[in-house]
Amino acid sequence: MQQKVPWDPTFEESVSQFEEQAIAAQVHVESLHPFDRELFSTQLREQLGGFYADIQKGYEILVNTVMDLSAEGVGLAGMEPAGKLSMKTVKHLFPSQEALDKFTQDENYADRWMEEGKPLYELLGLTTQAIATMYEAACHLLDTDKDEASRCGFRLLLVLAPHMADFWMGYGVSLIRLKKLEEAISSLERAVSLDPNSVQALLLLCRALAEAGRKSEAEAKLSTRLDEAARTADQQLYDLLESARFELSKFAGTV
Amino acid sequence: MSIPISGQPDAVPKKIPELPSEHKALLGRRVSWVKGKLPEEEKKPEKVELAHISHVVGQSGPIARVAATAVIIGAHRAKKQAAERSGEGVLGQHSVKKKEPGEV
Repeated sequence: MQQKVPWDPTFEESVSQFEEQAIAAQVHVESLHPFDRELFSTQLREQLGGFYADIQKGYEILVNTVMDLSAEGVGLAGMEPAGKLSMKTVKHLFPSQEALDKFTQDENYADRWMEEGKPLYELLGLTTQAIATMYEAACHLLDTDKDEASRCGFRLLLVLAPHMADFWMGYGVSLIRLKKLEEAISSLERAVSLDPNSVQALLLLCRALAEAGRKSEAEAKLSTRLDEAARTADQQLYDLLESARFELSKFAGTV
Repeated sequence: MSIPISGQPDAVPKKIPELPSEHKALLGRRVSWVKGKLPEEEKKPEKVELAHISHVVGQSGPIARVAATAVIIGAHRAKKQAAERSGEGVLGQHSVKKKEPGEV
């Protein structure tokens, strides 16, 4: 479904550049099999529009969740208890003015920043504490079964810090719940590649694979990890994986 | 938690503060594959997206600017909402004047 994209000249300019690059890449890949350029362009713009809308929505959702949690006195890290909203805490969730000035004054600033391999949250002047608070808010949404909201929140977090395996895991979980299994598998594979020692990421990936009807792939991944646990004589991990394999063997879900 | 810096293998990993233990366990508690039951209802695969845009955000290029712009606009809207809820102005940057009855 196409999502309404607010008009923004910077967005339009960036999308146009990205579109040209994507089409050029597609032409290169499919040089022997010409593709429908117009359809590809339309799909790409729709997808970018959804991406853009998700991030904006995710930002609002996470900030509002932090405020809700504060008001209810649940207390996230750094929040004041029992309904007293700490504006200082909320303020640190927003980009710094200094970073925004650099971003808006130099059109190549973002590109140079990313070329250096730096995450977007640093470019925007967000602190690591702000990211940690947003992550907690996204986890809270997941914990309270607000799956679509948590998906938007985790997508924003991934944009800000795409190297965090935990964020890919959270995004994957929300996608599993929303039955977007192929996307979930892709996200969880990313989580596993970023943190190969994470058993939780592996088990979630296996679950997504099983639900998508790819049970044999899940079994193969578990077996590989079981062999490693046996080699290193890690009894606790072995037992955990063995119980997972047992559950998987009983799983009869089909696509 | 550490953030490996893409393309800079020798760089010192950036640290994000550890979460309180009760929140750290949140994700695991909800989604434990071993302890949880797999849903039994029939599953249908979703159409795979044309490209996983979010996967390329970590790379350079115009998409980074698309993402950053979206974050800034989202932040601006969230900031206004937060200010309206708190009644403290736009978080100290400027005040939100309450309109009197009849005032345009």
